[in-house]
Amino acid sequence: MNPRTVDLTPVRVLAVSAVMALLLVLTIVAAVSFGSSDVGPAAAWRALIGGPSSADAGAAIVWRIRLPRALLAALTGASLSLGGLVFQALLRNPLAEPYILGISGGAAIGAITGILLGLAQFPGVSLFAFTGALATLGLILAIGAGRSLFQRDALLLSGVMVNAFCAALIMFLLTLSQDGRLHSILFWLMGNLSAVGFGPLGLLAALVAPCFVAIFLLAHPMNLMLLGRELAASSGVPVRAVTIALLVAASLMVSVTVSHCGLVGFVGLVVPHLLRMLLGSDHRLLVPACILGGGAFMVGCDLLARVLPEQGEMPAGVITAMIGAPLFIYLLRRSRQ
Amino acid sequence: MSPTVTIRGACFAYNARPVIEDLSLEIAEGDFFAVIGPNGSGKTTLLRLMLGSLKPQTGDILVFGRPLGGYSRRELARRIALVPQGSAPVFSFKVEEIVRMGRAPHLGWLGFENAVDLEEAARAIAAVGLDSLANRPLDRLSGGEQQRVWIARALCQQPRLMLLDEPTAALDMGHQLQIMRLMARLRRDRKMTVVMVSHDLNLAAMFATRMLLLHRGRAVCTGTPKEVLQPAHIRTAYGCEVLVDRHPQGDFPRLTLPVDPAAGVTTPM
Repeated sequence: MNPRTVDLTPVRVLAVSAVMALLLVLTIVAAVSFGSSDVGPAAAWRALIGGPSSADAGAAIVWRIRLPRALLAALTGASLSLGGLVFQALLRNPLAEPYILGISGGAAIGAITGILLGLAQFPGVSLFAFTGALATLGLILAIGAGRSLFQRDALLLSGVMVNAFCAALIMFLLTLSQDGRLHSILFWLMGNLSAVGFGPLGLLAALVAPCFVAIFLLAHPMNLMLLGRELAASSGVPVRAVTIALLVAASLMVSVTVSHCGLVGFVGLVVPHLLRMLLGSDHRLLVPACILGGGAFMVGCDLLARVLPEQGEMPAGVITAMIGAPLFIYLLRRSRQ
Repeated sequence: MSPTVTIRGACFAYNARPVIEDLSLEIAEGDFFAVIGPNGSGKTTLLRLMLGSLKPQTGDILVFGRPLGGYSRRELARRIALVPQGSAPVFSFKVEEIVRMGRAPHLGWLGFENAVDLEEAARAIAAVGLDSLANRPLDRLSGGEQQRVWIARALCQQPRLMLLDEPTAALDMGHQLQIMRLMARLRRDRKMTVVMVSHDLNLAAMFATRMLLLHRGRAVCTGTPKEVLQPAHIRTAYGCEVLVDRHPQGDFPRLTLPVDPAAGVTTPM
């Protein structure tokens, strides 16, 4: 009935991470091998080994489209899952997700403004989205500059209000926009993983990686803070400093990510829950698992989003919800028995 | 030897609302000290002041002879542990995981337990008699069992002073007694000082060596249960009359609520 707890050692964290990493590599391999064009797995691999400058017909497809897209999906899944995990712990609320503090709203207003001004996706729209996200983060921090912010419900409610305000502004901007741009805006709002170059990808990786490390180092304090702020403080956790560090690291990470790929939904809500059901609630295990497992989940969903439709593609966010929600309900039922 | 806690002329106010006013107090090493008083009299605030999570606006608080401000958070957490009015966290942790979190102030920078930490956690779980439930999720346990988990977690910090915030508030009579006996035994075995906020005066009278009666942030009386639990003091603090006699089995006071002569005794209809 109650299997013995496996002691959580660095070795176990490495072992679980290795399994998740393998899963991530396998999904990336699959994402590179398949696609809507007729470059099959064998041709894709020849092109991959041949290098980006090879004259092979598949090289352009693999190196310009499939690989960067898979890597973008991996980074997106990793940072949104980890963002969801952090906000669920910080707000002690299972419904929390990476957009809960209004980052999505701010980023969307920035991105839509960029699109309406006719800017290119990178760097123009991305930069506008990032600025919008940072503006909402600044707003949230300013609202809560007094102690009251760190009462978790105050933070949650400010986020909900900022999101509601932004949603109204988004609707307003939508009514102003013309047909062609409306389509770009909708795609951005639903999350768009279509290929970016290796340049923006490297920038994204360089910005989110330090956030991953910082959050991992705060994993044990996150455990304690789930038990209550006062208890954490009495156990030696500098609660206020840890809260601010987590808030800023997670928000920055999510802001950079959404400015690259729009509002990919659901993955940040469901992946932390899925992994918690499989691995328990200890963040020292959940942080690396969310980074690697969230990446794998997103790459897999994006592959299906590209392959399933007969023509064109659907937004990856549609697939994350269509697969994630039933999977989640299944695991929830199983874990209750 | 310096007392475990020394409070000199402490005042504390939330914004402009005074909660603790000019309070002085000494708690000796090994005391089982009960803080009693009506709702809103400042009991929990006093506990937070001793914990260092609140700082008095005036006055000094010394623990083990050193001002609270002279300790780092970690140093303090190795000396003082809190047993909160526990509620289960939103995400399910196993008993063992929660108890191990008590090792936090002893862990290295990566935050993983070593063999000593695991052994200390197992010892704490055994001390509160939860060995057979160590792998259960906390939220599957009864209220009394959960309270013992929070006590084991605090024990795991290896504190010399343990602070309990109404540890028996949500428990039935049998579990109240069990928790109080457990604390009395742990205090003896581990040579700890115990400070407990309590609403149950009879229970406090049986177990406390000394007590403080608070009323609107001021000390009405400090002393042994016999000295503190007198009708006049209770009237001042709680605004109600009580009958005080002696417990039939021991030399401590017993409080009984009187019958209102106007309302009479409830009789069967």
